Amino acid sequence: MARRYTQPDVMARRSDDLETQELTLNVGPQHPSTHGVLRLVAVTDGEIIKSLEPHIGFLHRGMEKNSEGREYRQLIPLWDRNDYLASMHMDYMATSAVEALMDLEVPRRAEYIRVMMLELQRIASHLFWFASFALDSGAVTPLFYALKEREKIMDMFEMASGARLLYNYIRPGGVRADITPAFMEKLTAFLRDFPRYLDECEQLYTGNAIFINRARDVGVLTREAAINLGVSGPVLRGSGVAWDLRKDEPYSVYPEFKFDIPVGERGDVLDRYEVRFYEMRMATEIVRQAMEGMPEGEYVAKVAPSPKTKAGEVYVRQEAARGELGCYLVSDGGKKPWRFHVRPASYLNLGALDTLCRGYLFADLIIILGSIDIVLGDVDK
Amino acid sequence: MNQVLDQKDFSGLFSESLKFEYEYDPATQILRLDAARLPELFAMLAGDERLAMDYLRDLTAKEQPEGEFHVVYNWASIEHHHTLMVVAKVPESMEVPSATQYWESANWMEREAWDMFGIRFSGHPDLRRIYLEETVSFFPLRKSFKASPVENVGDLGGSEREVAKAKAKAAKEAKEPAEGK
Repeated sequence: MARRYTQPDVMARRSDDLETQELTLNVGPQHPSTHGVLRLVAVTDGEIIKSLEPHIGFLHRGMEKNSEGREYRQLIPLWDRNDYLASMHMDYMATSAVEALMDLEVPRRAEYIRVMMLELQRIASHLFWFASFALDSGAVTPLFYALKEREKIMDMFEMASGARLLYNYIRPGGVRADITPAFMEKLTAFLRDFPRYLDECEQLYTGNAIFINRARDVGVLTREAAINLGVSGPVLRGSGVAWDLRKDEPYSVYPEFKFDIPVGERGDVLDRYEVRFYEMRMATEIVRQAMEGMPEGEYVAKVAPSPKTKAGEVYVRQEAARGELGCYLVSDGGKKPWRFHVRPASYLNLGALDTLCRGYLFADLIIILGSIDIVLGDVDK
Repeated sequence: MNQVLDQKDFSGLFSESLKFEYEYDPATQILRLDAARLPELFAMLAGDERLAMDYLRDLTAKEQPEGEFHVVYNWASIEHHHTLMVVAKVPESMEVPSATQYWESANWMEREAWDMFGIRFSGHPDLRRIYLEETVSFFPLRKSFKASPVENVGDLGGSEREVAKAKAKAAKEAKEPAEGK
């Protein structure tokens, strides 16, 4: 059962004339543990959080309004700045929405390259999460290990797309450039070494008694609450819901790959941690399968420089690193979107933070926030 | 485009339970209706075992070329693996029933729709702007709002302090030449 903290008896035994009151505590917006610019206002009773309200919007850039005046191809470099730790997923989001309203045959090789890049991006994003999560829970060393591995993925992305962080690589019709033998060589070396690295991390951190004591039975989210709050990704699966869009609402060529979906039991911080670690292993598997089964042929279909779409409306979604990344596109048949709405996973996951933190110690707040893995650029759009 | 594993045709279910005008297209899974009818639809989607739309994954709004507003809902059933998109026409009062009593996820998403479009959700527990400051006087995703530099300092958000700063600066400038003499 979940361990919820209750007021110790000493509070009942104190003298009656001692005045007590709830204390409102402010965290952020400029706080190193808030992963960006986030303000949290916690109402505490002693050390226990009674309620918590996140204030967001410090990074609001009006991306949706901005999208309405742009052609479809211009949307991709615009939106990959939204979640800057998982740019490939952002590229694919904009691309798949546009492709859903176009009659377009995407070459199989392009789809395989996409899957490979999306999964590499998932690993890179989870590694960065591991680095910052470890930092949140008080350990500095994992940061250097995780970023060292992430650097290798960024080097590979640089070989493929020319950019290290914001790729603009996946585009309507396929991808920007074909992968090279040098890339494949580097990828082979990475796939050989990476599982060993993950083992090392697990030895270093997962079994650590201090960490487990902090993470187990903290920030528990039940299965029903998780679904009702609309959380997605590792947070939803950590709560025991086997729901992964790669399997449950498949897109691209994901049905051709074999992989498992990790699911948690308790729905606490430790479960979310373990789900992400297992996802990194599975993503490595998918990349390996994509590399081995890579078909020959074209890497991009012929698409007009400024493509037009059919009139209509569509909601496409994908399993991004942080959860369900949805995109609602309304087109009037022109070259620019009439309405372009993005459903970032971080937004709804952060909305669940109040439920997650109630009844736990204030000291647990940062580790709980770290376990839902938000990117404030993504939340604020 | 996502494939939905077990998409069903809900025409029969809807004609049996929904006693008002609506349009439903099984090919696109879009249901169109007036926003005033939403409470009946919510009760059905959440309550009917055959639908069991437990996961409200997205809620947003859009403005039509003729100036009419729509609220757009996207549901999925984690239990049954089917989905539904609902497009509800917003009345001129700009007031729409809130979905928060069935789906907690609607809370922030409705706040976003209010912030961006000025659509009020009646029954929402805490309908405040979520991205912009309360002092802001416009709804940015309306087509009538042109994305251009903002003239009113109060509209920049954060505002009270900046307005005070601007006033203090103006007062100082008014004072300084006098001292110089």
